[in-house]
Amino acid sequence: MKGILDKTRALETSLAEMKELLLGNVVLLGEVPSYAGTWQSDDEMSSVDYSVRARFFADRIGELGVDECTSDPLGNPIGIIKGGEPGRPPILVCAELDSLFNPPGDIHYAIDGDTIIGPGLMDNAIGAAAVMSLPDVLKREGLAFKSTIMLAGIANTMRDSKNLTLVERFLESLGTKPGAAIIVKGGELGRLNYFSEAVVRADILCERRPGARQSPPNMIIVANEIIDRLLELELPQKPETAVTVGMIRGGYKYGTPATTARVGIELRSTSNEALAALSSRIAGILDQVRHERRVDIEYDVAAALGATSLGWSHPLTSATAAVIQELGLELNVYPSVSELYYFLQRGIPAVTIGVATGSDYHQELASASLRSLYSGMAQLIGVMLAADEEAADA
Amino acid sequence: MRNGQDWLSSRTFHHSEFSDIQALVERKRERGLSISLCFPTLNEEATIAKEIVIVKSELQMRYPLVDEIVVIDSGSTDRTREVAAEFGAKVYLATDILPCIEPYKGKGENLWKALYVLEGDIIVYVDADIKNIHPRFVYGLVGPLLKNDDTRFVKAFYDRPIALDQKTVKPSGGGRVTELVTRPLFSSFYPELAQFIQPLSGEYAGFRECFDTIPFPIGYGVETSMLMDIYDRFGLEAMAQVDLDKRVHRNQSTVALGRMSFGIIQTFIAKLRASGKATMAGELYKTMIQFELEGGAYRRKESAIDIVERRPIVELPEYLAKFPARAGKA
Repeated sequence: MKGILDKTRALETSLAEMKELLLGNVVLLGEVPSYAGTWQSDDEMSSVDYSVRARFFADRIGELGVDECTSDPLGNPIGIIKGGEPGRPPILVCAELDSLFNPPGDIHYAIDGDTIIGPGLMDNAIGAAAVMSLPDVLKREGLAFKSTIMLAGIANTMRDSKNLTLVERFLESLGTKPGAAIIVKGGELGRLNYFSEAVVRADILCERRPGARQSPPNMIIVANEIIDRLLELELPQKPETAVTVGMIRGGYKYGTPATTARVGIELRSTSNEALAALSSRIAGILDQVRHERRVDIEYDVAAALGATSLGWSHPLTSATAAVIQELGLELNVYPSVSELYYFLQRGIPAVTIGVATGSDYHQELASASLRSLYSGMAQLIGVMLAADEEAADA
Repeated sequence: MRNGQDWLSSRTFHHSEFSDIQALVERKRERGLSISLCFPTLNEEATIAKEIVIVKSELQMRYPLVDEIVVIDSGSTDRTREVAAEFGAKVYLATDILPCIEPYKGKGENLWKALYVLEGDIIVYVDADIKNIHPRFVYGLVGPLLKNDDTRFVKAFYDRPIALDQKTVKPSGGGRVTELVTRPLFSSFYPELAQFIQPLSGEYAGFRECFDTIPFPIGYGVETSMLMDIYDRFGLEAMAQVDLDKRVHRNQSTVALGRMSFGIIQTFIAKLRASGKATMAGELYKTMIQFELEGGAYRRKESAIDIVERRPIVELPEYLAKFPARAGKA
């Protein structure tokens, strides 16, 4: 491990000398819209999901020197760098290609001294560009691996509010189970997620019941009543459990009572059981309001993740922590509420790391420090080397 | 118009025809050529870093197409020079080049002086205010020069959106000076040059002899003048244009475009007189008169726009001392 840590530190310096290559990839990928959609054939007999950014990612990693470039049945691009020992399970390095914030019109990034600026940068153009830069950087550094490396960009993760379900489908479609996986996010540098919280993300849809008499005319008021009841819930501090009301939509005109209202909530807990109990109490609240107010209420779960952990003592966790600390970064351990769960659930040792320090993630002027990206890339390669040497043997 | 339609169809390219950059690198090597890229700048700190990064990353580090990236600065008061140097461009202050001759300020001055410091056989000029810089801005321009032996000069054109504000981009409508001033003038006196879709675009490339044998107005008229001189000297068949798709840049006010038009008209008429295509009884006035509404009253605003022209740099002894092979090419 010491050799890997020394190499990681040295990489930070050589990556600074490749800054134009790294920046070029960030800008070129970030300026490709992350919008994804479905192409429907004229006879409506078939449809294909597409993402222009996925296409760009595929073309680029091919150009930058992967041994093979393919895509899974969902159209997610996967670049293969063949390892020296073909029998070993591959190491998967993946990043979401989508950005939650999509500005209208063209996307233009800017570089101002040490700062890169542009919409979608931290979520997740810079993370995806870091993965996309790997074939070039590894080649320039003369780095080879025993395991085959799979570099994947996962598109469509944000689509139709069903974020993460496509990550699950991506993993289902992989022919070979990876020996280790590194999930790359834009930020923050120093983050280490090796365990996940139980999470439910759901939409509560309130609709006026057709023809119902004495039903309340305004669904925003019904939604408000539900929110009030959610806020009255007494939640345990241990296991730590929380409800967040994150989104609310309803109505279409100032002077007209809303016929529909939608409330987006997230439930989190460190315990699967506590989350199940909370879900059941919320179902009770919704039932009560449904009957008392005589309205239609739907509870639509967009994502459900469980609490699980790779474990602090797992070689991949400890190697990642060691690499982060070797680079002088502050280790920031916290639970994932994202795709990590799907990897761990399938028995794939996985961690989530960030590659840059940035701000204003979901705004027009999202920004990142260029220097932090050198550390972020060195960290990523260091963790890959560690996974190749040690972690996958666990 | 002689061979007009033929020229338009045979000498108008799209950048995608030259996107095989490796093939361009090989062609450059076969022909033993070198390529210099020049960014003329004045307070471009917002865009210059990205322009250099993209070109250096894609066309130097990945594909060795461009041999040098040079910034010629008119005296920016922001961090343009510092930022450009930080990303590895060779940076010159225009006044430091050929310090023994009287300096002027203007884009044309930068382009002319650049010829003294640039080393390449092919010279590419790209404006430094492009927000959507992409390698195509360079390989699209050098592609026709490398692939076609008889092409000596290539001019860019675009579907030019103009940024109305931070949120709204109008899909086309740039090139107002082109449609209202330059094209009518070309149609009247140089109809073959009216075929250039964007005669005022700031991106063009050519072999050194296209630039070092022609005079350069120091200010607004440089692009118009350049087309007329290259046409007169090398003919339409040596010229081409390439579609670079979209260019996003700062929008200029109508008042500023008025001053630009004034400079172009002044340059154009001076060249007409020099070529004998037109004669005038007297000298032109050199002051552009515009009006501003201030406090309910109109205020007269005058801008003195004097057309100064640099003679062909190949006539300069200092230039010939540096490029002796160019002796006798004036």
